[in-house]
Amino acid sequence: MTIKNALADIRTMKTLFTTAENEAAALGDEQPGAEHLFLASLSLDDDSARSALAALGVTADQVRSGIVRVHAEALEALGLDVATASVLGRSGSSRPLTGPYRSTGSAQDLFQRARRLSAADTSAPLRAGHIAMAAAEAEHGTIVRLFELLDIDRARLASTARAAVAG
Amino acid sequence: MAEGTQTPSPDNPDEAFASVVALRRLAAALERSTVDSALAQGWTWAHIGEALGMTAQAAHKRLSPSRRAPLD
Repeated sequence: MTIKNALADIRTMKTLFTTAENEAAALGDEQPGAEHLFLASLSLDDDSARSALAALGVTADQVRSGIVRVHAEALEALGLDVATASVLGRSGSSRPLTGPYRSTGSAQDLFQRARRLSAADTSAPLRAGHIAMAAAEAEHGTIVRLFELLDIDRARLASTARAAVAG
Repeated sequence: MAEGTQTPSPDNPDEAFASVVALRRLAAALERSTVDSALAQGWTWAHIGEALGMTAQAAHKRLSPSRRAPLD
């Protein structure tokens, strides 16, 4: 990996995790998970993840509302009032985010898988599309339920993301 | 629990874990909201800790609205 690519990767990582933290806070989560990191990849200047998802007819807004819906459906299945639950989450979104990045293990795993994919890709810098490719490899967890809710075929996402990164 | 609903079986890990994650989020959100309300109503950290089964110090460290300190 060249120094230029390494520096670019650091900048990408900072932007990704900062955005993921903000998205998680806005959705009432204390720490960003893989689903928030995937959402963050859709707002990078590099549009490889956005275009990969657009090829499947899905937007970042749909991903955002899908994250809320995944948890709401799980609560509804337990007989819990989703409207009340969403009101309870309001206090999480207004706290100032300072200090070192915080993230769940799932976000860190996703990022590391994305880095390995970019390293295997002729040592290219980390692209948003690599995050999407890594997300498509997930087999369990909120991000998988999110893809099921949005009718996103993981193999197709991996394929469109690979094409977007190569393009 | 409401009629017609049931706790997901551990025999279906995907469904059960989805419930666990959703309940954790709900519990965390309820805890944050309640701490904010309690503080606004004049509760002390000792009382908040007592209600949550922890010391005042532990409650403050974990739940204080300004719990993330900036880097020096």
